[in-house]
Amino acid sequence: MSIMISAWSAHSPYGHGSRAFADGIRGGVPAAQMSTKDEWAAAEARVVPDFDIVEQLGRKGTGSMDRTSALAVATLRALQRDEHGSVLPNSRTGVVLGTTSGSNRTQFEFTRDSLTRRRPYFVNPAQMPFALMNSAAAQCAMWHGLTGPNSTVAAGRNSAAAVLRYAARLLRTGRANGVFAGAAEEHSGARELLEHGQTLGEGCVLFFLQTADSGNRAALAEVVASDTRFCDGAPRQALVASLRHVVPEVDEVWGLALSSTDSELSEVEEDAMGEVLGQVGTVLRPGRLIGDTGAVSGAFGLAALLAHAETDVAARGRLAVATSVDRDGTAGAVVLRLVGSQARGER
Amino acid sequence: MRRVAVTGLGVVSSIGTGVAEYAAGLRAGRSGARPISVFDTEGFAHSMGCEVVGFTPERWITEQPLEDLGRAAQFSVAAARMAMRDAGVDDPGRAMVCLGTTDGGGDAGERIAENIVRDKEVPAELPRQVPAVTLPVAVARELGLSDVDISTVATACAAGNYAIGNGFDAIASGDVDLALCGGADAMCRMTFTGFYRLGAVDPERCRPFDVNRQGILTGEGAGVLVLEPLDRAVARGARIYAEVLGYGLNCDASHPVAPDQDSVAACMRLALDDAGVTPDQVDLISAHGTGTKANDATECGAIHDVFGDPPRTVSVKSMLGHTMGAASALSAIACALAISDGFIPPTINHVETDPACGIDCVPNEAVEADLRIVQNNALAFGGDNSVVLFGRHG
Repeated sequence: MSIMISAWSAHSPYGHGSRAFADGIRGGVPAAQMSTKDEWAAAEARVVPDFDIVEQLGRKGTGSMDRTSALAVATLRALQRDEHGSVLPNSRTGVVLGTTSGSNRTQFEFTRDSLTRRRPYFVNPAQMPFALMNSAAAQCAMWHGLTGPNSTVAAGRNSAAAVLRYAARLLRTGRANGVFAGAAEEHSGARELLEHGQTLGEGCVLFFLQTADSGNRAALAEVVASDTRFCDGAPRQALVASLRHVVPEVDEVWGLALSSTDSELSEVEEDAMGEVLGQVGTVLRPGRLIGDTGAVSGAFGLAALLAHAETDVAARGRLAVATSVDRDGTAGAVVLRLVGSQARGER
Repeated sequence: MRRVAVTGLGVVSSIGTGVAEYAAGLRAGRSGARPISVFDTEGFAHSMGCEVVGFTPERWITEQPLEDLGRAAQFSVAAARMAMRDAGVDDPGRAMVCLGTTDGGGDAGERIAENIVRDKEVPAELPRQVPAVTLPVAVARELGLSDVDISTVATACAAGNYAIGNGFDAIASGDVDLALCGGADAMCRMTFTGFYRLGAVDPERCRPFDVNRQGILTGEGAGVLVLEPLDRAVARGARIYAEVLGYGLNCDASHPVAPDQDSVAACMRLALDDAGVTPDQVDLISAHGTGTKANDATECGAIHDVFGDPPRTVSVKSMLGHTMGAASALSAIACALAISDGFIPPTINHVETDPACGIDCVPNEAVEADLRIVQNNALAFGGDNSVVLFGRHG
C-alpha cells in the first residue's frame, strides 16, 4: 500500500508557510541570524521571524502555551490555508510529531518557579501540559479537531525517518486514514544549554500523508522507505547500512538532503553518501541555511527536496533521499519518489 | 497478518524488580508508597510517592558507562534485559525497541535548571541524558542490536500502551521479528509539583474508585514486554503469557487535562473492534485508574457506556502509584500475568466504592480467576487515549 505526501507546509527561519521556505531554500541565502537572550543563555540563532504566539493564535488557550506547540498549530493551519481547504480532516485523521525532548524552556521555567518561589508548589498549573512532550501533537488535535491517533515520537535528529515510518504504519493498518506528520523544535536559551556549539534554528514542518487509494488529491511524492539503524558509536556505519537498505537503485536518485550542521556529523553524512550513492546531482544542506533545527532537521531536508523538485523537471519520477545521523550511533534515511507531474503554480 | 504473542516480561517497580517479584507483589497487594527521596520535598505539606528503592543498575548494565544514562534509561535497560532473559531468545532477528515515556530524561533537565538557578556549574554528563531517545538507544546498545527500529513514543501517561500497539503492528505486519516494547519514567519534581498544585496528589495512599480518593501518588519504574510472532513462539516452545489481540488509539481533541467520557468510550470500542472482541467477552479491565476524582469517575462512566454491566475493573496504580510513561506498560504486564497465572490483582487501599464509579474493583485482596480476555486502559494529558486487549493462548 503506497503512502503519499499530498501537501506540506513549514514555519522556518525564512518565514511562515511553504512558500517562504521554498523561496528561501531555493535562493540559497542563509536565513537571518539574530541575537537572542533569556534567563538561561544568550546566543546567536535563526528563529522563525515575527512569530509571537498571541499575535499568531490569539489570546484564547495561549496564555501558557509553549513555542513548540504554537509553531505546530500554526504550521498545520498554514498547510490547510496553502491548500485552499482541500485537505479535509475527518474523525480518523491523526497527528504524528517528532521532537527531541519537548519544550525545554517550559520545563526549565516550571522547575525554576518551584525552586525559587515562596512555596515549591507556587507554579503555574496551566503550564504543566505544555511542559510534556506530547503537547504539540495534542494541541494540533485540539485546535484543528483531529480525533484520530495522536502520537509524539521523540527520535531527536532521526525524527523524520522515525515519524514517517510510524505514520505509514498507522495508515497501512487503517488506524488512521490521513496523518499530519512532521516535527517541531523551538529555540530557547534552555535548548542552547543542551546543544553545544552550533547555530541553532527552529521551526516546524508538516506533511499530509494518505494512502494512494484514498481521495483524489494529486500527490507530490510517494514515501518509498523510512528506516533507522543503530551502530554503537559508529553513525557512519549505521547510515551506510540504512542507505544500502533503502536505495537499491542508486541510479534513480535525483537529489539528496543532508541534515547535519556540525562538521563532524556532516562528514559522516558526506562519507556515507559517497560510499553508497557516489555522485548525486542535487545535494542540499539546509542546516547551513536555517541552522541546527534538531528534530526538524530531517523534515526540513525533505521539504527542501520537494521545493527544489518543483522547479527541476529532471526530478520527476526519480528518488529523493533525506538522511540523518547522531553521535550516539543512530542514523536514519527517508526515500521519496517524486511525482511532480503537475505544475503546482500556487506554491 | 501474523498473530502476536507476549513471551518475555521485565519489570522495575516500587513493589518488586523482576517478573517473579512483581507477580508476587501484585498477588499480595503490596504498596510501593513511601516518602519521596529522589528530590528535595521541603515545603510540601506531604510527599509520599512510589519510588523504586534498592535498584542496582550495575547488575543489568554492563556494556556502557552508567554515568551516560539517566535514571529512566537505566530502568529501561534493566527491564529490557530481564524481558529478553525471560523470553529466552538467542537471536532476535530484525528487532524493534519502542519505549513510551512522559518525561524521558526530564529529571536530568531539572538538575540542569536547578544548577543554573543556583549559579552552579552544570555537570557535563547531564545534557546528554535529556533526550528521550536515550531510553531505547541505551537498550539497543546494551543488547547489541543493530538492525533495529528504535523509537520513543512520548505520549505522556498513555505512552506504554502506544508503544505496545506500535510493536503489535510491527510484528503483525512482518516488519520485525521481535519487539521490545513498554515504558519507563523516573520520578521527577515536575510531575509531582504539577499534580500537587492541581490538588491531585493524595497525602497518604492512592485509593482509586474510593469515595474518599484524593489523587495520585507519583511513581517510577519500567515495564518491558517481548512480543514475537505467535507461530514462531510456539515453534520454539516459548512460554506464552498472553496474546496481544488488538488495540485502539484516539484523541479527545478537547481539553488539555480533563478526560472526555465519550472519547474514552470510543477508544475502548476501537480496541474491541480491532481485536474482534465483544464487550461481554472481556473478563477484566485494568483501568487507567489514577485515583483522581475526575479520572476515575469519567473512566468508569465510559466503561459503563461500553459494557453496560462491566467486568471487574482494577487499578494497579493503587499499588504502584502513577508511573507515568511506565504506567500502562506495568499495567499491561499485570494483565499478562493475570491471564497466565489465573488471578486478579486487587485495588488496594479501598474502603468504600464511589457510587460515581460503580464497579467491582476487587478491593484489597487478589482473587483467583480464569481469565480469557483482559483489557488495558490508558489515558493521557492532551487527550491521548490507548486501549490494548490481551487474550489467553490456547
